[in-house]
Amino acid sequence: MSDPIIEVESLRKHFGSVVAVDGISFSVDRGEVFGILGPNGAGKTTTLEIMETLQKPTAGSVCIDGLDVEREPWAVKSRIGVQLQSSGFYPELTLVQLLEMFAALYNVWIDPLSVLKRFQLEEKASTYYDKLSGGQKQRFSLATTLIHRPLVIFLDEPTTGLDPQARLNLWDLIREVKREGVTLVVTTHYMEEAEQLCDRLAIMDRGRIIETGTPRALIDDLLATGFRKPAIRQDATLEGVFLSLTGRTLRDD
Amino acid sequence: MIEARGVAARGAGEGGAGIPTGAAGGRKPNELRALAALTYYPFLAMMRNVATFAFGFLFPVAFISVFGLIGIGPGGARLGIARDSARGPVFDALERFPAISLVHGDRGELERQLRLGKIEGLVDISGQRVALEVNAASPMSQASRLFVQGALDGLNLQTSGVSSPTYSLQVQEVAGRTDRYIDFALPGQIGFALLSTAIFGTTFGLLFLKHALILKRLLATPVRGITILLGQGLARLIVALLQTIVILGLGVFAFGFQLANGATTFAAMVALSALGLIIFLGFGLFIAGRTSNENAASPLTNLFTLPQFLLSGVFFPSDVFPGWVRVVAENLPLSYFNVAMRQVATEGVGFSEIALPVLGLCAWGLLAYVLAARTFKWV
Repeated sequence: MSDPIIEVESLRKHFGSVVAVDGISFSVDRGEVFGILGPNGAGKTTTLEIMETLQKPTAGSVCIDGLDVEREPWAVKSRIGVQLQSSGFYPELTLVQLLEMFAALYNVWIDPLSVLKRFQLEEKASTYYDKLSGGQKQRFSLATTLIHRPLVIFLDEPTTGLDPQARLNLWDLIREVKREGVTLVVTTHYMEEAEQLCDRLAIMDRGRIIETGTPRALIDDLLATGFRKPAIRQDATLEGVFLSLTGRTLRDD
Repeated sequence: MIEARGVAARGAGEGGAGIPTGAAGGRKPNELRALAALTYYPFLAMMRNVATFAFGFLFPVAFISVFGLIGIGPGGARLGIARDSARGPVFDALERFPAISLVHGDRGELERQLRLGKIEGLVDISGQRVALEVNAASPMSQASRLFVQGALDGLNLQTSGVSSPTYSLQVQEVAGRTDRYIDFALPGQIGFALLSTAIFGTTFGLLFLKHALILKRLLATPVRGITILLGQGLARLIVALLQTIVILGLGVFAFGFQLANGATTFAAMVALSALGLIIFLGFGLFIAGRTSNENAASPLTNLFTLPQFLLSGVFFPSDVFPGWVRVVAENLPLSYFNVAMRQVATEGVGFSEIALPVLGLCAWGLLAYVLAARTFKWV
């Protein structure tokens, strides 16, 4: 907890009488991948959208890079990148057109082709967004979050609905982004994804954070309570079988 | 706010606190560059959109073509004449008569056409006697009689050697132009296209942006919401002006629509279209802003547009309605627009003479934008 870039303090969000976020506090360190886990309806997306300046909290505060998201939303917006749960792009525009549009919105100058190349989309430069596969859409969405070199990017369930090859590929890209020093906040309900990607986790349910820690520490805590997984010795998983049969090559096309 | 965004370099890569170059924080946004992008790219997307194309271009062009043909078709009475009658001085006189167009055919076939109302009358010539059979149900039957009588009178005068008759009728046309249906229909079609684009285009366009999370994704960038809406509006404006130009061009070049003062009238019509679209957009914004639900928006769009398509003089003048309906009809936004557009298009009047309908239009616009501003929801 040496150098927090995001500080969330007693955050609450009510929609009428429904409590979506019920007084949560946590912080995210610079350069880490922070996971928010929880079943559907736990309040993950609402929490994310408050951090992204897209919703106003009912009470509590969020600071990103020392800036209060409610008081200085514009300064925050230019420091963060946002990947929404689905789409978010004009289906009738090509990838190059979309990248150029976002570059103008962030007031940066980019070479769309080299951006696409980095995310293995260079062949799709003049393809319309709605003609992309699920994995390509997520890779493209990730690419657009990075064009203004943000400090933090938020990914809302980035691998939901992807096939195993596309998921592994996206994990690699996310690790690469992390290596460049970008802080990532990722929501997911895949435990394997959380274990593979995240440095630290918060587990949410019914609007509350019920546990935070590194994946290893959380597992150790559970083991310390005397919990044991039913011992089935398994040297390989079904996913291993699937990948060894179908290979790791991307199947987008 | 803009100042606050300017300090974006703080905490950025060059700080050296172990933060590699990948993360640099943001730059100060350029609202003008953003507006240009938010106009141009949505415009490209709109032009690729099937609904925009159908409502904005295909429908008006189809209507104009139909109305244009109404004006061009053969005028006067269509009279059938059997083949064996088609000779002699009486036939020649009938054929020369401008308001009569003769339809040749077998007698049986012509009788069938007469009963169906496809021709107004059937002429039989035997020597110097002419028999005319008319369809009593046809509104042209009386006129057909007069036309045939007129042709015979001319023939009688000619054969009696009268070259300058004592009594004569001179008809003077008051307007120096032939007023055809296309001249009425075309300005109305511009109004129809603009209202369609503004209401259907904006409503369903914005609802789509909401559903597909495009609006949300744009709101996550450091660009103001009003810039996003302004860009949407400007993109629609460009589409609408293209529509006006296409409709006008088709009317003028294909169907001889008459512009009162040539290029000046053309420019005035385009300018008036821009004003009309801006006003109508307010209503689109109002409908799309207060709901996120297409099923709720659909009846609202129809409730707003259908009465205007029928009452506001798009297809026929609104003075055909009785008293109170007429009062309502004449004060609808599209009526104001159509009145102003017709006066500019066919009479070539200046701005001062359409000030009243333009003011009426602006009053509606004010109402629309005030309502929209109060009820607009981003999500």
